[in-house]
Amino acid sequence: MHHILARLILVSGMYTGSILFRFFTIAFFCLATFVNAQNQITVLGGVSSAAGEPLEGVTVSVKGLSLGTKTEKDGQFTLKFTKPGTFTLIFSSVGYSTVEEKVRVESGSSKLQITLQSSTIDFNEVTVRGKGEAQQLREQGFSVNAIDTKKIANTTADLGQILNRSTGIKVREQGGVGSDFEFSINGLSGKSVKLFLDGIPLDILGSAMNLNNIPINLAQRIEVYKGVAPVELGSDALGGSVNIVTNKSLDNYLDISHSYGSFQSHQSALTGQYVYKPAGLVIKGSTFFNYSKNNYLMKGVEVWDAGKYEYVKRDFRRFHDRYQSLMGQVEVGLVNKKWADVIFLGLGYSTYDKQVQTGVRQTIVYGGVVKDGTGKNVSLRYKKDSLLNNRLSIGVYGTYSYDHYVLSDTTQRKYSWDGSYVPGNPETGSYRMTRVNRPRIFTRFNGNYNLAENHDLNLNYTFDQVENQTYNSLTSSGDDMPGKLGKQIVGLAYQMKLFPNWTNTFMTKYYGISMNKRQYDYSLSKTVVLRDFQNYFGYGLASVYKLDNNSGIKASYEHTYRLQDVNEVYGDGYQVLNNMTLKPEASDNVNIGGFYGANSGRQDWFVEASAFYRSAKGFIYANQYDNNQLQYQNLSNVMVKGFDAEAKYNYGNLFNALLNITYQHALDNTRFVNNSGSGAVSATYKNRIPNQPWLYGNLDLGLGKNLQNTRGGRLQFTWSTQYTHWYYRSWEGFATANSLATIPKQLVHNVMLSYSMQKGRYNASLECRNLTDQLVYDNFRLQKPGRAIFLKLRFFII
Amino acid sequence: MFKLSKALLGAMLVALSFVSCSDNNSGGDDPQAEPSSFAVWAQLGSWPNTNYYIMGVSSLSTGSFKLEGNGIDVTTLLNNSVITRGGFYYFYNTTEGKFGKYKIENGAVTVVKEFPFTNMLSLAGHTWIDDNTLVMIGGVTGAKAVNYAVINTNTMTTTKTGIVTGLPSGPESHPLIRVGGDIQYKDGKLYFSVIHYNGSDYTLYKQLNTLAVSYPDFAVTKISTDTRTAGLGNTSGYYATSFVDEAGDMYFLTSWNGLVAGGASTKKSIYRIKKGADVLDPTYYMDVEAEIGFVPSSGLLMNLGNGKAIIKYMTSTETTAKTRFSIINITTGKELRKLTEVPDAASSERNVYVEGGKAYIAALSGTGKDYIWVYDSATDKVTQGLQLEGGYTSFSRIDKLN
Repeated sequence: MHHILARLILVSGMYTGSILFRFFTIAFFCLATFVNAQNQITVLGGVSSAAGEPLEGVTVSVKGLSLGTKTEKDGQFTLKFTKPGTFTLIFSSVGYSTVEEKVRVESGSSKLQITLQSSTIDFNEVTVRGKGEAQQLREQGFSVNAIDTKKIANTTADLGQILNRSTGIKVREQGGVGSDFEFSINGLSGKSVKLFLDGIPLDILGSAMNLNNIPINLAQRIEVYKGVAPVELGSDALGGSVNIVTNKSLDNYLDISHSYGSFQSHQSALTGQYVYKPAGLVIKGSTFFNYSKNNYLMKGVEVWDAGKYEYVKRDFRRFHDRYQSLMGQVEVGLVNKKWADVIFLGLGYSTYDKQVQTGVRQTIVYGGVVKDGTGKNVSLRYKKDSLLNNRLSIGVYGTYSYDHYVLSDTTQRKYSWDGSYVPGNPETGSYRMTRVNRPRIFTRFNGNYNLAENHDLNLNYTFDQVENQTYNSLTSSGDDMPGKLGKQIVGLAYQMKLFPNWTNTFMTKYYGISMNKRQYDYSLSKTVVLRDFQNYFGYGLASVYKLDNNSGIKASYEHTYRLQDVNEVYGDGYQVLNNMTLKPEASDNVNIGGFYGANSGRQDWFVEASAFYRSAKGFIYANQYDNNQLQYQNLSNVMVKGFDAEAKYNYGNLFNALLNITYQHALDNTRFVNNSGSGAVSATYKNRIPNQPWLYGNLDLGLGKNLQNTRGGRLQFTWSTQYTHWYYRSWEGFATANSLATIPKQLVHNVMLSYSMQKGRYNASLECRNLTDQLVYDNFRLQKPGRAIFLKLRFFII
Repeated sequence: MFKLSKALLGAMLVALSFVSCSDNNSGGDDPQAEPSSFAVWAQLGSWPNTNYYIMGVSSLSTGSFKLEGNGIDVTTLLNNSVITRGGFYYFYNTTEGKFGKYKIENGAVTVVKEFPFTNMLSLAGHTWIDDNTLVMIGGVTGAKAVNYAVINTNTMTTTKTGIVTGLPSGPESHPLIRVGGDIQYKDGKLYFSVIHYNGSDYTLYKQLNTLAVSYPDFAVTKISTDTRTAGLGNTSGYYATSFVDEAGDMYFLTSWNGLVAGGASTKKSIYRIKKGADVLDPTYYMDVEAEIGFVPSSGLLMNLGNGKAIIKYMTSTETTAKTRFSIINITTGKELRKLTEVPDAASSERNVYVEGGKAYIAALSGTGKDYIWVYDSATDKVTQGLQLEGGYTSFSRIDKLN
C-alpha cells in the first residue's frame, strides 16, 4: 500500500471568491486522478499557537467520522481517510478556542497548518473579526443572550447590572450593593430562573455568590437561555437559565482590579492561573471582596416630628445598609493527560455580612436586622474527549457544599430614617435568630456521542440533594424536622443536521423528585418520617436554519418544570398543611427569531429579534383557609407574549453602538378564582399582570481611540442609557384613578471613561452611574441609589 | 451597505404578530360624585397579586355594583383588619409602627392622622369605651404578657399604654400566653380571655381563662376558667366574635382553636357573662357543633337584637369547606334556623354587617354573580339585595361609612 499525500484546499468564507476558480480546477483534476488512486488518503498537518509554538496533545477529529488523533510533541498529526471528499476537521485543546476547518481531501501534496488562539481574553481588542464563542452561541437554535465581557472588563458594574442591560432580562433591586433582587427572563422570575457557574448551580458556592455581587472580571462570558435550555444545564428551570462562563485558557495570567466609589463602596477582584506546562499542572484561583455602606440619600422620607405632632418629609442617608462579601475559590489539576483532558480538585469559601435597612417599602425602616452567611464546598471535575474511536466525550462533576446563614432580629426597636429609635417590637415581626443550614450533594455526568456525521447524542444526568435545616436558635438548638429534597434529572438531546444549513436539537428530560421530611404527628404524638417520589417528563426542540454564513432563522420550544420544594409539599405539620397533590409549576415556552450580520470594510452589523410565548401553569403560593391554616397550592397561571430585538454596530475600534428593546405582555391566565378549576371566572382573568415591567430598552454607545505615541495606549468613552416604562402596582382595570398606584418610569444614564496602557495591561476607568441623579424605583416605594461615581484600577498580565 | 434580509424582516413580522396589543388604557374614571354609605371590601386577582379593593355603595339592599374602575385600592395603606367607627377607619400598621385614622373620600383612602405606635406586637382585640375612646390589647414578644393601649380617636393621641397586670400564669408545660379578639367593655370593666400554649410544638393547654379587668387600671380582678375549650375569639378587626346585648349580657365565641396534646381540637363554643357578673355564666354553654350540626367558621358572631344572633359555620370539615349562616337564640343557646336561602359562600372574614335587626350578608357564591343577602330578624325573611358582579376571591368586610 502506498500513500498519496492529500491536497488540501481550505474553504473559508474570507477567501471563497478568490480561490473559487482554483478550487474547481483542482477539484476537477483531483477527481480525475482519484479514479486511479489507492483507497487511503493521508492528511498531514501541524498545529501551533498564535506565537508559533507547536502544540502537543491537540485533539484532531473529523466531524461525523470515528476518525481522530492527537498532535505529537512537534505539533504534527496524521489522519488517514478511506475516501476523498470535503470534511470538517475539529481542532480542540484545553485552553484554546476550538477551530473547525472545512477541507477537501484528495490526492496532492499540501499540508494543513492550523493556528489555535488562546481562549484567554485579549482585553485591548475591541473589534474581533471572526466569530467568537458568544457569536456562535447566538447563531444556535436556542434563544440566547451571549454577553462577551471582554469589551466591558473595565466597568465597575456587577453581573446583574450587565445582564439588566440585555434583552428580555429585568433585575429589580431593592437597594444598593448586595441588596435583594428579583431576576426575570421574559417575564418569569424567582424560582423560575436558575443560575449556573460553568454549568454548576451558582448557589452551591454559597449564598454570598449572587449576580449582584460577582465582579465582571470573574466571568469571560455570560449566557442567558431564554425559556428553552440545553440539557447540559440539567435543572428544573421554568423560565430560563443563566450560565456564567469563566476563563478556560491555559496561559499564565493575573487579573487584579479594585474599584472605589460613592457610598464607600469597594470592590476587589483577582483571578489568576499558573500553568506548569511540562507536567500539565494547573493552579487557578479567583477571589473577590465587596464592601459598601450603601449610605445613599433617601429623598423625601417620613420622620415623626414630635414638636409638630405630625410626620414630615426630609432627606436622610441610609444608616443600616452596610454590605460586605468575600469569596475565594482555588482549583488544582492536570490537563491534557492520556487518561484525562482535564481533572481538577477545587475548594471554595464564601462569606457575607449584610445589614437590612428596610422591609418591602421604605416606610418600613429597620435598624437592627442583620443577615450573614458562609458557604464552603469541595469539588472534583473530570473531562475526557476522544473516547471510542473519537466518538465519545465525557465530563463528570461532583461537589459537596455546606451553606449556612443567619437572619437575626433581636433589637426590639422601632427605627426612624433619622437613625433614632424607640422601644418596640421585633422589626420583622418575630424575635429571632433564624438559622438555615443546607448540606448539599451535587453530581453531574455529561456524555456526548457522535452517532454519524451530523448526528450527535448528548446525555446529561444530575443528582442534586439538599437538606434544609431551619430553626430559631433563640428557642431551639436545631431543626429536628428537616426536609430533604433529591432531584434527579436526566436529559437526552439528539442534534442533527438535516441539511448543511439546518440544525435541529431534540431534547427530552426526565425529572425525578424524592422528598422526605420528619414531622410531628399530633394524633400519634410522635415524630414520623414522610416520604414521596414523583416523576415528570419534559421535552423540547431547538432548530436553526442558516440562510448564509451570517444570518438565519430559528425556533425553539420546551415543556419544562419547576419542581416542588419539600416544605411546599409537606408543610410544617402545624400551621402549614401538607398537600400531596401539589404539582410542579409547568410551562410551555416557545421562541421564534432571526439574526442577520454583515460587515463591510471596518463596519460590522448584527441584528437579532425574537418573539416569545410562555404559558406557565400552577405557580405555587400559600393559600389561607378559613380555619387559619395555610396550604401551598398551584394557584395561578400566567401567559406571556412578547418580543425583543437588538441591533449592534461597530466601526473598527473607533465606535460601537447597541440598541435593544423588550416588550412583554404578561396576562393572568388563571381562569377560575384560586385556580379551582370551576366556578366563577376570576375578575382578573386575561388582565395584564401588574407590578411587572413590560417595556424596556437600552442604548450603549462607545467611542475609543488607540493613542499614537504611546505604548499600546487607548482611550475609551462609553455612554449607556436604560429605559423602563412605568407600570401599575396593582391591576389597572379595577381601581379608581385616585387610588391606582404606579411605579414611575426609569430613564438612567451612565457614562464611563477608561484609559488603558500597554495593550490593556494597565487600566483606569472612571464611571458615573445615574448621571442625572434620577429618583429611581424598581419596586413600589423603594428608592434606589442616586448619582454615584466610581474609580477602577485594573492590572492584567498574561 | 446594510441591507436587512427578507428572512429577518419576516421573523420580525412574525415576532410582532405574535404579540397582541390589546392594551386597555382605561385607567378608570371616578364616578363617585357623592360619598358612599357603605364599603364592601373585595379581594381579587391571582397570586401573588391578590389585592383588596373597597367598593363604595350607597345601599346594600338594592341596585348593582361593578368593580371596574370603581374600586378603591387600599393595599398600600390598609388591610382588612381595620377598626371602623363613625365613618373612619383606624389601623395599626405593625410593619411601619404607626397607628392611623383614615377616611374614604374622592375614590381614595386619605390619611386623617397617623402617629408612631409600637405598644403591642399586633392587634388582638379592641373595644370602645365611648365614641372617642378606643381600647386595644395585643401580645408581646416572648408571649409572656398582654399589652394595652387607650387611644383618644378624636385627638389621635395615646391616653395610656401598659401591661395588663395579674394575668394567670400557665403550667410549666404551656408557659406562653395568647390573647384573642373577644374583648368587650361591660359594667365598667373589660372582659377578655387568654389561653396558654407551648412554644415548641404549639399545642394549647386545655383551659379557657376569662378575665375581668379593671378600667382604666388594666388589672385582672377576676379569673374564671373552663376546660371544655381552649379557644379564643379570632383577632378583632378581621373578625367579630363577641358583643354585649341590649340586656347588658356579654356573649363570645371561641372560634380560634388549636391543637391540644394528643392532637385533638377543642370545642368552638359560645359563653356568656351576665350583666352585673364578672365570671362566666355557669348555667350557659353552647357547643355550637352539637347544636347546629356544623363547626363554626373563623369568627363571625353578631348580635341581631331581640335575643337573636347570626353565626357563620363551615359546611364540612374539609379545609376547602364553604360557609353558611345560622340564626340562633343567643339567650337560650338554641338554633332557630339555618339561612338556606343564602348560597354556600367561599371563605371570608367579616362579610356581614348588622344594623336595625337586619343582617347584610355578602356571600361569594362562586358563580360570578353575587348578592348582598338581607336577613330581617323581625320578619325572619331573606331577600336579595345589592348585586355584585365580579369573579372575586373573597368579600372580607362590610362597613358603614357615614
